[in-house]
Amino acid sequence: MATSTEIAIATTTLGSSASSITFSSIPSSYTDLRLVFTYKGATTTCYYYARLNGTASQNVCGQTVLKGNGSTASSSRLTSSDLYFSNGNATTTIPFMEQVDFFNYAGSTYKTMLYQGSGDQNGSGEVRRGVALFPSTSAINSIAFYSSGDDFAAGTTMTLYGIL
Amino acid sequence: MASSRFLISSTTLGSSAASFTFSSIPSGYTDLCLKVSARGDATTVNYFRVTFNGDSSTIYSDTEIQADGTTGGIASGRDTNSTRLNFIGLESNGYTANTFSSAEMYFPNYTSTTSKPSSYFGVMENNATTAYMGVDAGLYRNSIALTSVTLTPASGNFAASSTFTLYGLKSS
Repeated sequence: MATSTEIAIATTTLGSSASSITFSSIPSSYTDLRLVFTYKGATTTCYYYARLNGTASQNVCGQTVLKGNGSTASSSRLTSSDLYFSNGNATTTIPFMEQVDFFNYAGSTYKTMLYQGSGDQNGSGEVRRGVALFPSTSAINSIAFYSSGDDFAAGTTMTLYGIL
Repeated sequence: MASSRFLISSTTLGSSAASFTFSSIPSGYTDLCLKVSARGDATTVNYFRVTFNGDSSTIYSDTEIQADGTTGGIASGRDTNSTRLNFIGLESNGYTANTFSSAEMYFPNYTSTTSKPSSYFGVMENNATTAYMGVDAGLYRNSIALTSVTLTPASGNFAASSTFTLYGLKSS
């Protein structure tokens, strides 16, 4: 029988609004991690940033993003920053979805992440694809997402998969 | 360790077809992931058109980035209040023979009682002067569970040897 290669490590669905969601004690036994989530703002628009390994402030990351807003395709960069990934503005009614791949997350080199954000809102919204760098040689053992602008609404769902 | 990704079904066309449908999709998963290797028999630039549950009402929309490999050949557009999702990147019969495009579509929380966002990434490469890449955010404004997914070329039919594969992913 073939070996399973994609395993759900943990999942969280908010029963009430919250300002953060954290995956901790991530085992180092996989090759890559994949995070899939959908979120809405509790009372108004909401975006987020992520921090790895419990560090209080991580203005050390870099990102390059490709973005389309329905009329213009553009690219931008962030350096020496927190991790914003797609950082899409989710409304209270239409979920924004994200998928983030963390490659070789337990290795001894800097960590590269690929992210895909999809937030069409029927006449507005955006699509984003990008790459992020976390310049640390330590294994990623926790991932925390912090809402900004508003709390994550009840029903926000995040699932972390390990990929062998 | 229990797997989280399960093959629901996979089909390779033995002859051309006007559309392809995954029907009677079971509700026991968290997300759906659809992978396609396809070619159309029309000679014009072609798109995947996607509908759910046989629904052709105007509750679909999408935002896209498309690129064609030329200098300045990148743009963003959107469809609003549409009868289907519309994703560029289906290999056309006007391009290099025997080349098929590759695409992945992801539908999270497909049984939820909220609107259904989706993600699309499709590419075609034919070693010629024109090829397209599409990146899309899709939205189906319906609170019912997805029980079927239908793909239709914007023009013509899917060619023989086009392959459609649907996976279910479980979060627990």
